[in-house]
Amino acid sequence: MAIKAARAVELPIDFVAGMVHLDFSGNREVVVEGCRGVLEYDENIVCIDTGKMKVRFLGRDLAIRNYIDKSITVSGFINSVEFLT
Amino acid sequence: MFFLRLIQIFLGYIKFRVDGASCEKFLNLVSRAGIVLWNIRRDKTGLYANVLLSKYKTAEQLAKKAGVKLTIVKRKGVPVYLIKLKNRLGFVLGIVLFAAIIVYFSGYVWIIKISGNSTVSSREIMYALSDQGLEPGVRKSTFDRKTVEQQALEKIPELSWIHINLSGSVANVEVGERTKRPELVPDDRPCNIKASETGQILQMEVYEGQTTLKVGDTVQKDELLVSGVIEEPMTMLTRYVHARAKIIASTSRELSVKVPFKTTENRDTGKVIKKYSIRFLNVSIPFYFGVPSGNYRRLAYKNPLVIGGTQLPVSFNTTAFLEYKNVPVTLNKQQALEKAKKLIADKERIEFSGIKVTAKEYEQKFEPDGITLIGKYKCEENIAVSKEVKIGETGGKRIIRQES
Repeated sequence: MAIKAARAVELPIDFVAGMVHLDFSGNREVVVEGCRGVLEYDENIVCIDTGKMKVRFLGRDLAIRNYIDKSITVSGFINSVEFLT
Repeated sequence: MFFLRLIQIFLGYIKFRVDGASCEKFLNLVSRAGIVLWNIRRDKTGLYANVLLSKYKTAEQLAKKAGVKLTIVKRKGVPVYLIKLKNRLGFVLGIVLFAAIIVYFSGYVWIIKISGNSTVSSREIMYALSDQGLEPGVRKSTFDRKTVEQQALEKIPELSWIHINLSGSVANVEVGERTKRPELVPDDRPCNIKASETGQILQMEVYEGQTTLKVGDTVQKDELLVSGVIEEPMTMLTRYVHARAKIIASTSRELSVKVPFKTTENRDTGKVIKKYSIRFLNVSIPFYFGVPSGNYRRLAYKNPLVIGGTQLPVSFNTTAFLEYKNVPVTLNKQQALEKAKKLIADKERIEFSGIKVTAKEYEQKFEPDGITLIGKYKCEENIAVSKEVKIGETGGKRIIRQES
């Protein structure tokens, strides 16, 4: 419902529907906003709890560059992203 | 990113290691507490992270809650460095003192550079500036630039402008010299040309005015050479002009000097006492006490310190005290004559500046008490001098007053 209303008035849906926002810089870095916690952290896996779903990043040499409140920056070589509901 | 890094260094941060099973729990607790972690890297048994120095204690408490152990790997940043300096207080104080000295002394004028002068000596300009409060060693705040410029200009009329520019501790003084105007009667005022000396006219160039003289005529001093009052014979009207002419005449001049045979003069006894001192800015540090009493004349030698072509306000001064005695001297005729010739030569240099001397002869008169040397000269000079004509009206008649 919220998504439909957001589309109708041309507002960003993540802003209205409280969705997680991911900002990719190629496959080297991603900024995740709306993060509620880190569930798993490994060199090859970073799993983040975003409330409604979990986002899992798979790759190698993964590091968390910044972790501030609800914003997390994951860097490294990201091979794939999984959204787990 | 660069500024963020700068802030991190400025505030100080700790790189630490987290060991334990629930590292993720620790990360979540720390983030919820509002503590920023960065450069989080995982290895086989734990992870590394950076945190601000001030937040580490809180992170340690949260680590206990999460059941992990924190180990400090490295401390970095300015506060860490300052803590190390606690044991080197002297070093810190030295740096602070050095900075304070630099700041303090940069408020002084160290060097004054003068440029743009050719006829007015730099020394004269320095004296004028010094009288107004600008000299090496004064604080910049103790003088007003504009006032100094104005007062210095008044003191030295040969200057038309002066500008003081303060660049750090150097005062650059630029001056412009005035081109001296000859004293002339203004062009719009009528004037006559009169003779400044008695002589015989050799050459005449009359540009404006009326004359009845010709080359070869003899004229007396103050005689009218060219008239600025011209009467038109046809119309009986009188015209007033600014007479202009160049009249070269042969003139005779005389100079005399008298030298007595018996005189006194100061003669050095040969005794010299040297005293030394160092001058820094306005402060002179002498390496002696008192001055010799008696008849001494003082000679001062200044050796300024020059580095890289720049003269610094530090100098090593030597003051030499030369003892002299006032002795009666009796000159013989020859000696008196030599002295008289020197004196008359000095007088000639001053009197005949700009005048061509075509012939000269000297006459010596020996008297019981001394010698008189008389010089007689034949000169060729421009004897034309402008004299203003004042025109006034009295009782219907026009009175012409010629200024003498």
